[in-house]
Amino acid sequence: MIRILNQLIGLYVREIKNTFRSPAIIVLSIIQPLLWIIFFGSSFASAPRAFLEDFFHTDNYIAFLVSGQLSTSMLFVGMFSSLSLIQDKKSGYLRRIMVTPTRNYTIFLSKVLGASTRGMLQVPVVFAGVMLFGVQVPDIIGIAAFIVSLFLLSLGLSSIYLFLTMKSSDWQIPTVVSNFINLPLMFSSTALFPNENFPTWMQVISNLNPVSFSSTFGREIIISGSIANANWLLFFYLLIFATIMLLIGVIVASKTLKID
Amino acid sequence: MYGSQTAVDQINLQIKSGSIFGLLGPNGAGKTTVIKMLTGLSKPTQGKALVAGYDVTTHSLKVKENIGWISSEVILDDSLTIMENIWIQSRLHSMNNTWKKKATGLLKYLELDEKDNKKVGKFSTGMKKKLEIIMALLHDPKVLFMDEPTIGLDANSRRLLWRLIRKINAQYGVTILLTTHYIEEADVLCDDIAIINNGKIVATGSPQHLKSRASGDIVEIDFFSYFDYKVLDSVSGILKIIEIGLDNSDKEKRTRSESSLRLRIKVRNAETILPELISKISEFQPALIKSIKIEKPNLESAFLELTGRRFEEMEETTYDQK
Repeated sequence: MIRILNQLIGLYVREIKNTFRSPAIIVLSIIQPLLWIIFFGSSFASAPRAFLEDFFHTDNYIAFLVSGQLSTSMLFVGMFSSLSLIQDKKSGYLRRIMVTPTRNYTIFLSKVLGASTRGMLQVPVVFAGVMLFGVQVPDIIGIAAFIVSLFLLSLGLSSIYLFLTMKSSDWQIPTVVSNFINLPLMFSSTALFPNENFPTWMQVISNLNPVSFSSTFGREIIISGSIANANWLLFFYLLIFATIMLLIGVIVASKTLKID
Repeated sequence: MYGSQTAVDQINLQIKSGSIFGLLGPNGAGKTTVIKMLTGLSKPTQGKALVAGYDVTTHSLKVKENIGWISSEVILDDSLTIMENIWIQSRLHSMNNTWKKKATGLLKYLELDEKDNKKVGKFSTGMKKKLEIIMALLHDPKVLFMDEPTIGLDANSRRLLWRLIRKINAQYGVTILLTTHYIEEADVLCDDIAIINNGKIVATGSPQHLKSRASGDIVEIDFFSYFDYKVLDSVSGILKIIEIGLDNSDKEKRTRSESSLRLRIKVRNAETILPELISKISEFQPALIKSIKIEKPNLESAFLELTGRRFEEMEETTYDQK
């Protein structure tokens, strides 16, 4: 157990150091969600208050959007875990790791944790930015609960990305997978709009969509200002989602991860 | 096997603990495949291999705990410093706090101690190779695998690395299995060699033993034009004459008018035979000889004896097939 932990720490720290390799990319990827929120969130700035209250259950669409945007960002963060693995395959570094007594699932977990940690960097920046647009930041426990839910979502989505692309060494594959799953997951969730007016078939998808769990859970905390009104069932679903995807990823990595 | 292609075919090797063992063969012979199987990167289709006393198929993690590996290409994280690269290696082998002391000692031994906080991307190939050696030795492996360790290095750097490899073997007692397609490297470095060709081991033994299998000298003569070299059969001391460059069907079609001919003549003793050989050729046609090369028994000629072709010819064929 200690050996596995040591190996995981070594590989995880490498992932984090590689994340900060290019400060410009970090800055851009952190600011991008904030820009998205500000520009897209302002589209309802002049809408009647009654409409906003009735449709979004808040008079500030940016407040509605924050949790949704951060949740959909985790979809794109998942792609990084794939790209990181492909980079290691192409450079030969994966071979270096696999000649040591490091199990495949440790490599898998380090990539997932690395990508998820990278995804969390944008959270404080986004909260700091939306405060300027009148969004009330919840209390510290509320923020912590939301961050944990985002982390669980990211673990699950990164695992999906990785086990779908585990055998590949083609840079294009993660992008193709991303185009295939990200947009449908984003639009069929409660990230951008409530799902009450979705057609029935889409409501079914939305209610099973982990992006919806995170968006709704976070939204309840942000709008109410604390965890008091949060639906903890959604958090529990995220925990199950992350656990199942991590387990599948561990099994797939153990069986299929190999050098080219 | 890779799909329907057999990369390594029924090899049987025993390597003495503490020795430097060379796997010598041209490109595409199967050397890297052997290393991949022994380091657990590839599963053998059949057969058994024990490394440091552990089965590579059933106890691959135990094998990996006891081996170090240096690839033919330099594989490091260029964006990290020397110490960061070494630290990651120490984590992967779950080393305790002794890793730093060991690393410091190795850095000093290999003269990299003043650069330990610099990013690896800025180093020369030779320095990166040294770092790879440090990382491979950090956890005190019993066996060190080196896949074409001097490829891409200039002659001087190559000799320095040979010296280093011998020092490491003497200092740390680690068994070294290296693959190479440089005959001189195998001859100079290795206690024992296995010659591999087309996935099969064609000979094993010490360099001295293998050289002794190449009985006789080889005289290679380039001619300006073709002539009927059967006249040379009467020269005593000639063991074999081979025409290089043509297969049997083409030899049938060859005519006198065609230019150039190269013969590889195996003889008992070149110095004794050469005068008579030249005299016989000159009798037939003066000024026919373009150049003469004499080769005393060496690994190159041993390879030639065992496979019927020179190393360069094997490598050219592999290159053409690609």
